[in-house]
Parts: sequence; C-alpha cells; structure tokens
Amino acid sequence: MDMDEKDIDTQFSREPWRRLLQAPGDEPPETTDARIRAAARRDLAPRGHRGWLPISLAASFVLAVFIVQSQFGTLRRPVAADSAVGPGGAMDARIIERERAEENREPGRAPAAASKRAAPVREESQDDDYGYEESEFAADAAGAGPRIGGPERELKAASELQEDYLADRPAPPLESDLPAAAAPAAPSAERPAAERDLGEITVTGSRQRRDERRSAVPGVAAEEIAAQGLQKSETPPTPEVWYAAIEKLRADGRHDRAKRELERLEQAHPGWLAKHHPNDAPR
Amino acid sequence: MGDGDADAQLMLRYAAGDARAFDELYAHHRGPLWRFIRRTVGSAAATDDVFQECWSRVIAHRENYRPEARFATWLYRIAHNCCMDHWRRSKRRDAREAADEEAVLAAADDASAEPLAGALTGETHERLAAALERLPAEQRAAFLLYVEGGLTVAEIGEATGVNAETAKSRLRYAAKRLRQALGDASPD
Repeated sequence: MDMDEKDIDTQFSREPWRRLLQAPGDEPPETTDARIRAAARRDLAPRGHRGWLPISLAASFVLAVFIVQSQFGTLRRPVAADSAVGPGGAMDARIIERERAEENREPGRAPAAASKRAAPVREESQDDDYGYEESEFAADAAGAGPRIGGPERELKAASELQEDYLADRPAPPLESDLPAAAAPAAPSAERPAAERDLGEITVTGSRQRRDERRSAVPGVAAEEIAAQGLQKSETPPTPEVWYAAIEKLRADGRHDRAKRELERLEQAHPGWLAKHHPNDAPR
Repeated sequence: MGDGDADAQLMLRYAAGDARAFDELYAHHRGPLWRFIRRTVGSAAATDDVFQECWSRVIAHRENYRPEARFATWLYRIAHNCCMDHWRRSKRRDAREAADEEAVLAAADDASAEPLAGALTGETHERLAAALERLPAEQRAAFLLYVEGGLTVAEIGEATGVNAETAKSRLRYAAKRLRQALGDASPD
C-alpha cells in the first residue's frame, strides 16, 4: 500500500460508508443465487464427458457406414453365392436335380434338350419360381411389390440367363455334361438374342445386372438354376431347392417371408426339416 | 492480501472442479457485488441481469483465471465491464455522465452545484443512494469499487482501465460530493 492509498484511507474510511450503503434486503434474490450456483455446477458436470462427444460421433459414423455397406452388399450379392455357401442343401439339390434331369432326358437327346422341352411350360408360369400359383414369389415377380432387387428377381433373371448362358459358355470342368451338350442344342432362333446380350445393344440396368451376374455366377450355380427351371413346371421343388431359396431370403434379411416359406415347406414335406435342419423344424 | 489469497485459492479449487469452493466464494462476494452493480446500473431488473452475467463470466472463464492479482480485482473488473456493456446496450447514459472529467471536477468543486442536501429527505441511506445516483458514472464506480469491493486505488485503476492517479482523483471527488450531499449525516 503506497502513500496515495494511505492518504485516501485517512480521508475516506470504507466501513462507515459501507454500513451506510447496506440496506435490508439489498441482496440478490434467492432465485438468482440458486440459478448461479446451479450454473456453476452445471458447467462443471460435463467437463469429464466432453471427450465422449467426438467418440460417439465417430462411432455413429462408422456404424452408419457399416450398415450402408452391408445393405448394399446384400443387394448386389449374386444369387449363386448364397446357394453355394449354404449348409449343404444347395449342393445336394443340384445333384438331385441333375439326376432327375438325366432321368427325364429322352434317349439320344442332349441334356439341354430336356431343358428346352421344359422351357415353354416354364414361360407360362414363370411368375412363380416354385410352380405354385399362390406363392408370394409369384406375386412379387408379377409386379405386386416395388422391389428392385431381391432373391426373386435374381432367381428369375438367373433362370432367364440359363439358356444363353449355357449356349455361350464352355462346359465347366467339373460338371461338363449338362452345359456342354446344351451349346449345340440351343435353338437358332434364340442365338441372336444371346449375341445381342453380349454387348451389341444398349445395356439397360437389368441387362447390365444380368451381365454382371453372368460374369460373377460360377458354372455350377448356373447348372443348379437350370435344374430348378427344368423342374419347376413339372414337379414342386425339392425340399433342398426350397430350403436353399429360404436361406437366400434370410441372407437378404427377409425373415418373415423365410419363416412363411419354412411353414409351407413343412406342409409340403412333413418331417424333412426335422431330419435335415432340426434348428428350423417347427416346435 | 490474506483474504484475497483465500479467494484466489477458492477460485483455483473451483476451476479444478470443486463446486463447494464456488459456493464459498459466491457467499463471500454476493452482497457487495450486488450492491456495487445495483448502485452502478440503477434498476433492480438490470441489476439482476448484470449480476448473473457477471457470475456467468466468472464461471465461463474459471480455467483462464490466474492468481496474479487479487480475486476481488478480477471479479470487479468483470463486474465493471458488465456494467459498461449494460450502459452501452441500454444507451441510458445521459449528458451528465458523458461529460468530460474536467467539467465533472469543476462541478464537484462548486458548492452551489450541490442541490441534493436540501432536496433529499428521509433516511441517510436513501440520501446516499440518491447522491450516488447523481454522481458521474466514473466517480460512482470508483467509490463503489473502493467501498463495496474493497479495492485499492491501484486496483480501481486496473479494474476501470485508468491509471492510479485518475482513479484517485475520481474517488476523491466522489467522496467530496457525497459528503456534501449528506451534510451532517456524513459518516466521516
């Protein structure tokens, strides 16, 4: 404290003036006190949690990207991929269907001829991939729903693909009997369409997807689809084929429909689920 | 400085997350600070606003607080700035408060320019309050910082942004006018 302050203090004492200034009730109201104290505590509280905000934002972003990628990947996944990665039912179905095709084949005709013989029938009922008129798949394929992708469309596109696919591709090394014979047996009227598919005309979205699928689907999957198409108009699908399609529905996240198809499968083939897929058998 | 040091420690404890330290600090300064603001801005409603704004700034800037000066100096500098902001916003400064320092000092020296003594009636407190309201804003702030805030002349200069001589001059003339206003009721 310097001399100036001493001078002030001697001439001007604080306390008497302070007492004179003070009046009863000349203080902040209690609400103001409470508000300020609450603000002081509130400002302290989030300090320890500030770091969580960017972390939670980053986690939300990563989760959103993961969901979008998984959904997008599901829509673009080739149909044969799911069939191939099933628990064995799809592979079994392919073998059984091929054996049936062999049985239905007339002596002296190529295996593809059998599929050609079945083709017109399939075209009449191609809205129903399983040959059942009341099937929900049939309703979807007929345009009842707004779906763009999905297993029904992929199955349908793949079944449409089988003819020119079998005609264009050489025989796969492992199962060469069906496609190898199909190439020479392909009708000449359909050959130009198959050639146009290979790029002469404008590639539309569905055509482009078909081309992508053609390059992505392995030969064994196309044979499986061909076997399905062969059988669909003549007999109901085998439980193996049916179950493979149900698994495809599950992979696409359509669990409700998969559940309904499971029930229909159980009705059509009682006990089959309990024997081969006990986890899916009705309890 | 012992009291100031205690306040500074409380503020540092609050900045470190101790809410009880703030309660103690607030209890120590709420009354004087309220009266300082009340006498500076005038109306009760404005006092409440400025008072809360002042403490909000204390809370918001607690991490920037450094005990280089007394806590009271820092607190009343914030309060003074809040009052000035209030005056700028409300544009209620009249010509008397905007007058230059020389004119104010001349008026304070003139005994005939002391109309309050005969006009004010009632309690001494009310007369003092009325006299304070008639003081130029700079002198009133210096007086209140000295009496209510307990600041030294140098700290008043620091809080109001002037040098110590100017602060001392304002304080001296404020005391003189208030004594004239109170007459025999003057406390010293």
